[in-house]
Amino acid sequence: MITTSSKLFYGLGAGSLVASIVWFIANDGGSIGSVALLFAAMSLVFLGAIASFTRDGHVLSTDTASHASSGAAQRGVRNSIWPLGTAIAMGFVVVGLISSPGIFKVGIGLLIAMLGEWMIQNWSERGSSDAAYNTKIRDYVVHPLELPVGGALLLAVIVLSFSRIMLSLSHSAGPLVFAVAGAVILAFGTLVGFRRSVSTRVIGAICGVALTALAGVGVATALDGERPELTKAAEEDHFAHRPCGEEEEEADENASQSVSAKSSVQATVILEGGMLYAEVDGFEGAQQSITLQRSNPSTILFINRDAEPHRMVVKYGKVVEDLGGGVERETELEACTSKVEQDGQQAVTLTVPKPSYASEEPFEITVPGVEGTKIDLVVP
Amino acid sequence: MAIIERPSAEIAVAGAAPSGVKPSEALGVFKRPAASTSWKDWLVTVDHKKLGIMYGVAAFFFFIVGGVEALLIRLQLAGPEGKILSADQYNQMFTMHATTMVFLFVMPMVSAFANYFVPLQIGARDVAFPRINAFGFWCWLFGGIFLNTSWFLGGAADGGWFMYAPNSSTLFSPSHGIDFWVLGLQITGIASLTGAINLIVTVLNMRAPGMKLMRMPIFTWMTLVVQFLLLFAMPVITVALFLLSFQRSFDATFFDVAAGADPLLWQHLCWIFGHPEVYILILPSFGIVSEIIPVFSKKPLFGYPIVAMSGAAIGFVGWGVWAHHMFASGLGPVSVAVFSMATMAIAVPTGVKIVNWIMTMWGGKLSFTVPMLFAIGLVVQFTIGGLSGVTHSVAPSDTQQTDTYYIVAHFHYVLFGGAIFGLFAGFYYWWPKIFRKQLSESLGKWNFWLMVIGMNMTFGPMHILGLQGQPRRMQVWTEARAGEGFFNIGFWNRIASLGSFILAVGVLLFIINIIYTHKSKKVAIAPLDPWDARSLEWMTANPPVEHNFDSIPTVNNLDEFFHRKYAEDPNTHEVRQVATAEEVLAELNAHPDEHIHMPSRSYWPILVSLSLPIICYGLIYNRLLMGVGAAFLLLTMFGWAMEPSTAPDDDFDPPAPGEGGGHTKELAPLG
Amino acid sequence: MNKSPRRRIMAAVGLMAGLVFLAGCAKDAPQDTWQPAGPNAEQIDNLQQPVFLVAGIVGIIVFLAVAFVVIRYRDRGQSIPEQTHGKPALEVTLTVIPVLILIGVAIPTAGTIFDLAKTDDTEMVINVTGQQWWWEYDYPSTGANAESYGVVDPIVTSGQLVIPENTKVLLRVTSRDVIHSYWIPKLNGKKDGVPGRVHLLRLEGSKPGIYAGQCTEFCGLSHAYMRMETVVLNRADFDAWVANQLKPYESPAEGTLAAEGESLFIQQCSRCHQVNGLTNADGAPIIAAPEQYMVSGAAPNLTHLMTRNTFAGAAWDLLTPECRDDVWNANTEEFGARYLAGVSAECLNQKDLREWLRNAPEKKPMYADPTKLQATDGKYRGMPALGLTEDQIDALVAYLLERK
Repeated sequence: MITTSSKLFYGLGAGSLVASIVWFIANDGGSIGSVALLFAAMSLVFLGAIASFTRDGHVLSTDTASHASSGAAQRGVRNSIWPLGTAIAMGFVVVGLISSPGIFKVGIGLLIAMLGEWMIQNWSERGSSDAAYNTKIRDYVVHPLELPVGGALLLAVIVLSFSRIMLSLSHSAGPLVFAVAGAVILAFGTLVGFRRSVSTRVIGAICGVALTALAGVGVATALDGERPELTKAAEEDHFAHRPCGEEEEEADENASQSVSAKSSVQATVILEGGMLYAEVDGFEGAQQSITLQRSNPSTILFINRDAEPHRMVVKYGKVVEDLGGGVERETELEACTSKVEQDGQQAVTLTVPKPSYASEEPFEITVPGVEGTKIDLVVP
Repeated sequence: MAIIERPSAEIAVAGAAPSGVKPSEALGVFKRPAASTSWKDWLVTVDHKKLGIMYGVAAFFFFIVGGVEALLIRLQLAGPEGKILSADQYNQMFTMHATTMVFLFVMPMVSAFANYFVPLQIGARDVAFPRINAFGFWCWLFGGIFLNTSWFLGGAADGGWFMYAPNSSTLFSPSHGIDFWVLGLQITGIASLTGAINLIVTVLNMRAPGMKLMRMPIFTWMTLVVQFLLLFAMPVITVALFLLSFQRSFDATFFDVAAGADPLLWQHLCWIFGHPEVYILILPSFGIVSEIIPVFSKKPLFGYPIVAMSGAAIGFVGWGVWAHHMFASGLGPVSVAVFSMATMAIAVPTGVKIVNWIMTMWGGKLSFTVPMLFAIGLVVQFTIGGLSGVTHSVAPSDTQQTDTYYIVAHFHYVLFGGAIFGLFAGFYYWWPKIFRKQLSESLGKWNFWLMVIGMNMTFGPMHILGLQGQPRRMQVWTEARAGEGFFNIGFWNRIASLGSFILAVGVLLFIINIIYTHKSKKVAIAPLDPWDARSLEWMTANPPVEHNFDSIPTVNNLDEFFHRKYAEDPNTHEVRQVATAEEVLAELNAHPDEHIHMPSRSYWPILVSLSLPIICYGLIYNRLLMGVGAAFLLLTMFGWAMEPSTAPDDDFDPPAPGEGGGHTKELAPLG
Repeated sequence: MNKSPRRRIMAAVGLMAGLVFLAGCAKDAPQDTWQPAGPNAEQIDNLQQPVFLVAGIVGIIVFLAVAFVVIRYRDRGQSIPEQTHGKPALEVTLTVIPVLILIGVAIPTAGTIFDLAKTDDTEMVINVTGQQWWWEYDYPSTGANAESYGVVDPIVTSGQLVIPENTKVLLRVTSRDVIHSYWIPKLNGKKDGVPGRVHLLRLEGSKPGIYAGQCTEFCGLSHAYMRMETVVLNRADFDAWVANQLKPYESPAEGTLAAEGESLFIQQCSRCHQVNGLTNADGAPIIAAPEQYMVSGAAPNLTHLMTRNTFAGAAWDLLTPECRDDVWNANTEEFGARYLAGVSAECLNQKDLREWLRNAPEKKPMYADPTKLQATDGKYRGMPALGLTEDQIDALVAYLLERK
């Protein structure tokens, strides 16, 4: 049967066929153009055949009554957010083109998603005359993508925001906020559990407000930056061993809090009344000499009982690196605490590679600014 | 697929709401699987009884795997300077022996019993969350298989099941074995957690009318305590495993001393989980023998409330004793003293149980069937294990015994002589309930005695070995330090190795018994109530119908079933039978419940759990594969979330040819 | 043997039913935990023997009760018993009895725990450092060590820990890599060496002799081969031992096989193994650099190798079995002299030492295959095979024999 649209396809197909022949003759046997036109002709004829077979997609062209009542004819257009979404995505693309490739990529992704959603909504609206059913088939097709992706995004927002907030809070406020937030969520859940009558709309609204607030605070704190100790730690490569550098101007009062391994130090070095002495597990009384095993990560704790802030410096020889071509580089080995306030404490973990008798300079622990007192370090 | 256009005939009036056609409620991607009798049904089932059987069969398979590992260990140690296993293989062997026995045999075997019998014992039709139950099983199975694939992919974990840091870091264990171990246990841990929540909710919410907590069978009680222990213990090991996997896979430094860490962190996490874990393994067996001893003594459990509460007490105090595994770790005298005292305290509720079992038998009418023999075996052997436990609760004494074979002897008496004997008692006791046939009693007695002899011959001498100073986890022992005379290490090592093979023959007899019972025409179908039992699980058909009870019984007594069969004269205390089991059941089923509502089968639990090993292989070998697994996980979780727990009739696959399925419909409107 | 009655009771009750063990005069394994040879171990033993006894008695009572019940109440056709749920008074009694027993055990336990942790009467301090798979002992040259025992320079040794008799020695136990555990059963219980931590363990021997022990915390591949021995010497012998350890180094005579061995040692071995006093051609001291080659950053100091009776983490003896028995079985008076004689050429256990030098990782499982060190950044755990010829091994053995 030759239906309306199939006539168009057949016509275009025939035209392409003619054009192909003309091209072939006009171009003296030039094949590429004519093959392309021939291919177009075949495709168009094929499409025409499909149009014929499906009778132009009419339910029953002859049954006009049924046709009028078909889903497609009864299509009910629903509200759609996708045109707006597409426009926003376009905005992202344009802004991205001007500013950064990252935004551009996000825009492209968003654009594909929005157009896809738009297309599927459009398709679903032709599903039947029953709007509820149409919504359902739309959901049926897109939910398996929408919900997991949406859920993952939601989780990402929550996790990111919450982690930013926790990173910016001070050392003491953090646990408090954590506990209170947990308690509030638990209480809210319990409340909802006991009052089943609360409508989902209300709960949804509360959750929505909470989420928005969380995201807002999250963005604000992200812009504000992490708490100072963390920033400092990051600069210093998270308290890893580092060259001592210049002595700080002021004591770092927060640093004492980072000492947790007090019970298992190799030695505790104490500055008291202008004198330096060590307490070593297993040895009675104040020691002026400490024996550390070679190659063993050892932690030494420094306690400052002096009114002035001080830092402890451990010198343990030098390493000579062969840089090739007869060039050698010597590095002094030393480990320091940062400046410790009165009655504060700080630990330093060091590994001594060579025995002390192999070095011309003595291994020793000193406190700059306090002269005439030191502790010998013996590494057998 | 009929979603594009519906038949126009069904829409009567243009523009009007359709009449006659209700859009389907079903939203799954697949149609729901229909009931069938083929093997496929086992993949999609949510029936607690089928899941229980699958747990049992798979766990028994791993029991054999773990047993072969144990035999290899004993072969290696049968003589000095053993040559059967290399040091590397030996370390893998004892690591995987312990891991397999704890996580892949005893725990899931307990799940098998709990799954099958807890709903039956409390008069429920299924567990509270049937699909989560199925999910838990598949998680555990895939986790266990994942863990064991490491044997074929460069070697299994070699750090011991306690996996002490820093020996577990990549520097000291460069193969992927420990990665497999960490991730495999993480997956099986999901099973334990979901199972725990499921059974707690089931026991607390789904008991039959009249079944107060203090009328629950003791097995259900112990299961409840164990599930609470799991609920709080699994998160600890999960955290520890996460720390370890971040250390191994992402270069974190949680246990790196040079970065200022303290390796004892791992030990504390490991044992805060590990000690409750011991009770997780043993309490269910206590529950099983507390069911069996009254049945074969024809007396109720002596001091039922005390037995139940001492179980709960063990559950509580069990949290305060973890550091007794660390008496040599340098905790300092105050901690050592406190944990030493706490450990002694836990001996009291444990001792109470032994006293109560003996008092139950006291004055009874004892019949020594195979389940009863295994139960008495537990009482005796667990007593030895418990008493040797008391000797090393004395911390100074423990510093001589810890990490020697004395400890190996101790916990094998507790876990083999106790937990596993309890499980075997359960096998024999409940076999006719599950499989309709009673296992052969005569083969069963051979099985029991060989296991008793083998077990004591294997682990008894280990007391001597330990006190003679043979440390654990040693690939070889040397003649130079074996000593001479009666207590020499060489002789007792040989005895132990010999005993292990007798034990293996005992276990083999159990398998032979199963085959004989089910192949032989001579073994008849067991009667409805073969043991004259006392609790509700026997008050239904063998095996129970899918919905367990045609009519949910109302419970008036502890040991309800017994009280329906027997009446006691209030004055003379004479007990006489008033009804047979068949009569009790007939009376109960005379008025079956209408509208029995059972959960529907689902594809999702197995699919969701399948994504977990994919993610884990990805983590080890290729991060891209991890992404694929994660996407699969996300999609399958969505599919599950959208699926109603009980499907409408139009959401089923057509039945397989030749099978009349329950739920069928020729055309489902939504794919 | 004063322990035998107790042991008989224990053997009878604690072990398998029906088997009665006669202890007799059996010579038990060297790591027997029930034969203390020092006050710390004795204190533990005095605490645990009564506990074993009580546990045994309780065990017997339980078994008798089970046996009685099983025999007395078996089904002989008696009627179904009364369905009683228990007798509260009986239950309370049977709960209180174990509580009382345990209180009786708990009190002396707590006392002993604090007693064993005492360190204020220490007379000598030794650092004990574990690594895969051997122990290093260093004697700090401070405090009482220097003042009373003549340790004026630090002594670093391994293989055998040497301590003076009847002296309260405090070990400061730690580790360079994974967790190990120091255990000499006849002298005290065990204590873990945990990297980054220092744990204190008291050791005191009341009779000269060699006491065996073994690393008891699983520490990786070669855990079974990480053994140790503690040697208790009387005071005079100990002083002689210290003096010998501090003796200056003597090069072998020119032109001897040992001199050949020395240059080979400098070439091959001194990368990791320190020999104090060894100098290169310029006369500068040679400092080993195990931190460059070993994961643990340490290798045994071989300065006085032949004063020890063991090598390779005390896994093998440097003495032939006959010579070893001579030392181990020597009576208290002769022991010191025999031990201090060290390893002579006739007594040297050539077989094991040569096998070790030929291919160490084949003899003791170690991660020392140079092709499989990606995870450790090219560093070894244990001694690699050096590919020495038999002539080179001869020279090395000759050189090592002079390290006394």
